Amino acid sequence: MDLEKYSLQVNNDHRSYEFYSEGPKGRIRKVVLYKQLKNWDENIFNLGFGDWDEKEQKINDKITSNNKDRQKILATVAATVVDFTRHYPKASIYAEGATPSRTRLYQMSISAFWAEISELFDTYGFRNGEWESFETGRNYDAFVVIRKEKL
Amino acid sequence: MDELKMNNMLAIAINKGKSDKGDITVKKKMRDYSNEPYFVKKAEKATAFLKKHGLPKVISKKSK
Repeated sequence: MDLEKYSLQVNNDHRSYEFYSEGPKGRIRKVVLYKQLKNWDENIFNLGFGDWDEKEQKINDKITSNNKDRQKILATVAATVVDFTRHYPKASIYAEGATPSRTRLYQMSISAFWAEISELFDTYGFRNGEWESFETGRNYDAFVVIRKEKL
Repeated sequence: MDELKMNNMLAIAINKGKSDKGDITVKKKMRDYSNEPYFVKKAEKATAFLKKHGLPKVISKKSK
């Protein structure tokens, strides 16, 4: 698989990432934010991802930009997971799409990169009311990933 | 397999691009997105979900 990804900019604490999707719909700023969930003993972060609306000056989750670069975007988001967990190796990342179709996109991304992801991360999917170890080919409602401990 | 090797494997897998190497650079004055309503709402939704369903049991031990 010939995987491309966009160049990333990251803030000082490696919790916020920006990149630009480029395609038929023009140049669209994408934002990935790892937001720590409060009032938890565990070190849990939510993975948030969205398009920055330059006109409204906010994240716009109402539109699908469809810049014909979905795989590249998914690979880029995956790269943020790698970089973030390099700086926060004990963190667990929770991810759920803004819509069921976007959750499915995350699932497809994990499946597409599964050989590489499973080497570096323990991945869990929520299905039928409980968490289980992620398996390709199954539909999940949400995901949690954590970097594997060094051996 | 050590971490550096694993990182390199994943980096190779997701960096195989002819036109874009996907570099990561620090942007010192990035906008603060942490209080964006969209991300705040998503975090609240995540919290509600996890309060209801909990975390994978293995995670609870690992991330402390």
